[in-house]
Amino acid sequence: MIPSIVDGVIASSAVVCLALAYGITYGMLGVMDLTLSARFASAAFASWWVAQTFYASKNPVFAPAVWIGAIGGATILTVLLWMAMAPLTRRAPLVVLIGSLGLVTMTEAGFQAVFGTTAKVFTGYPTETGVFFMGTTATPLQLTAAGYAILAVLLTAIVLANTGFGDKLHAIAEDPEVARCVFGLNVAKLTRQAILFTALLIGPAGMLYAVSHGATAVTGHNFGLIAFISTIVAGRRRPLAAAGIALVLTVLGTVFTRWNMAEWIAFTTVTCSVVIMAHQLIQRRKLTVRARAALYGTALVGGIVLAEALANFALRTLPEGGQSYHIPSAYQPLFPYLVIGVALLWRPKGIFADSKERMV
Amino acid sequence: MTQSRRSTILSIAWLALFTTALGAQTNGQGPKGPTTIGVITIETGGSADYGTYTKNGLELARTEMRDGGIRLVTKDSKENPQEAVRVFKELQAEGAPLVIGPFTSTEARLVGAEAQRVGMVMITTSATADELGTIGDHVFMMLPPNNRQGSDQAAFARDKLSATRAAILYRQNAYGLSLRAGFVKTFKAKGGQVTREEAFPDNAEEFRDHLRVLAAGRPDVLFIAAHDKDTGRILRQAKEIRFPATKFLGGDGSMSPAMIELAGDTAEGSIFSNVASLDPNFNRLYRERFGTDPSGYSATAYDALKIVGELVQKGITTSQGLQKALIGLQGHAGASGLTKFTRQGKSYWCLDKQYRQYEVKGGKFELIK
Repeated sequence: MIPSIVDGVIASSAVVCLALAYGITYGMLGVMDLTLSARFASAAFASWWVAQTFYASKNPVFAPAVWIGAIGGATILTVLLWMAMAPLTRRAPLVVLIGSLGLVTMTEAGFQAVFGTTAKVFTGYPTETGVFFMGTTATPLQLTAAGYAILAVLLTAIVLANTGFGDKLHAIAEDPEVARCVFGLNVAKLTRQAILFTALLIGPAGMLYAVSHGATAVTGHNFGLIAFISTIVAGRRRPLAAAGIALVLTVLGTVFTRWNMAEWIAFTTVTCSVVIMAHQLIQRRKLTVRARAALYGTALVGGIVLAEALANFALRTLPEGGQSYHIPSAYQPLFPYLVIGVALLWRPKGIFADSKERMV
Repeated sequence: MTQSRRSTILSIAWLALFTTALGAQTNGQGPKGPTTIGVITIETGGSADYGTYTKNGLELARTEMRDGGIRLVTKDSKENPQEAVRVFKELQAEGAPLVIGPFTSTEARLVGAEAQRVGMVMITTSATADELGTIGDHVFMMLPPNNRQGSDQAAFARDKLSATRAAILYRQNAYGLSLRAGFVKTFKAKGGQVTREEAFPDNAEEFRDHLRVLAAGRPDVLFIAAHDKDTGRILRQAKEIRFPATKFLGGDGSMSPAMIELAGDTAEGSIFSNVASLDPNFNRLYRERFGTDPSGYSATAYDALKIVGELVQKGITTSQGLQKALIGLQGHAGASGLTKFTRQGKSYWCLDKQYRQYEVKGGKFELIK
């Protein structure tokens, strides 16, 4: 059980970075801009181009140049797309949504015209062999991507909580009209700055993803939608929660077909019971938010470890066939949508939304 | 004769002339111009490189034929079955008696049904899903059915590689499903054990998760029923997770330069099946023209247009005429082997073509003798 969860966490790095970016553009600024996956692809292509150019010349600035290329590629496309998108933002949100979808299609065609149809592979980067890590294997590149995702989350948290720019973004997120009229904020300028900040978040993520998967015109499309949906499930003005939901959805998607029935039963009974009991104890005490989060986290991890031990014990007593009883992988794509449906039925305004907020 | 009566007669005459011209046009035999042959392939999206292979093969044939009285009209299906049907109707409206394509079995299933309904001929140069055989006598496949390909690979795994345990990773579309079915049936019939099967959706790029599940069964071989980009990524990711299989096997959909490029050195030793003879002369011509090695699909597209071109040169330009001529084709020796259509089910397949195994050595596909 635990190795599957670790795999899910490692695999979620790109989705988490995109969800953070959507959490800012849609969650805070209210712009239904779906072009972030195209920007992700632009970072992939730009870093590939820089890598191929510098690798051939054995230039010593190879590694930093690739990172700068990724951020540069994402930034340039972000500026270009925003120039096209900005006039639409004065109209209804759905106009922005449809306009952004049109821009994604155009960008995809443009990438294909420039870079061709085959996947662009970073030929200088060797094929990695995974190292053993917490019961599973992970490549150094995957661990770097996971480390970058953590860095992106921390950076976003610091910018939003501890800077004047973050305060202004929160003000715009609360009410753009009040931010403009009462606080005298230049909403258009701050929006541009926030959009550029998202390029910084997704640029390196696009590069790290493309190194192992190759860059194509549709790179990033697979998880762009999951990232956007995570923002909706998290609720407005919650970019960090959107990243958290993206992580949870990816992990659940990973374990969905990996776990056998014994593991599922152990998880749904033991882990959930431990968490519910912890909830009963925690809610009766006056604790700080951080203390509550730590206790909930401990209960969840403890519950999973206990469930793992019980599942392993049960599996030893079962015949060989008991282990192979899995949910067929054909149903895996349905799983995130099932979770999203249940989550929005439970909290239609988003899981972390305030009760006074409007329906999403 | 009054003015109004003269006008009426003139109008009727014009209408008759227009209708006759339109009728001739829809049968693909304009009074003078070249015969329109439709091509439906994938030009945009994640599988667009398949379209490039097809178009390059057609382009090579067209150049050799010096157009040969044919006007090729290419339409992009975007790998979307509904879009493929829409562009098929456009080609029908343009008067094409025959369509080469579409590329994938999922698209060919719908386009084939439409071609059958309106009496047009469809020759797919790549689609091989078994269910295409249930459509009708206007549907022609340049390859044998997938079931046979999967079955041949299973027999190869059991008889030549002495594999007893196989895991399967397949794309969840008509191609992957039928290839998988053929493999499972024969592998089990020959006493092998399928340890576990995993499916993945179209356009997936992350396979580590599936591979970890499959690795738990400690298979001797991993059979990959997928497209070329899928397989390239699967092979790379299999090495990353230290997949224990000794051999990786795949079908013709995986056998392309794009797969080798994505997989890098992890493709070495993998075995794929294909009917294409990869004729050295065709290979040389292709490399000189496009600067890369051809895919088997370039060879089938090349042969399809050559066959149609020869028929058009003989003055056969209607759907009905082309269908009869294709059924009666005595055998065309080309880049993809001998093309001769044989009825199996309701449709026509190239059953005489044999799947052969190719191993990746030094970044090239080498025929296993």
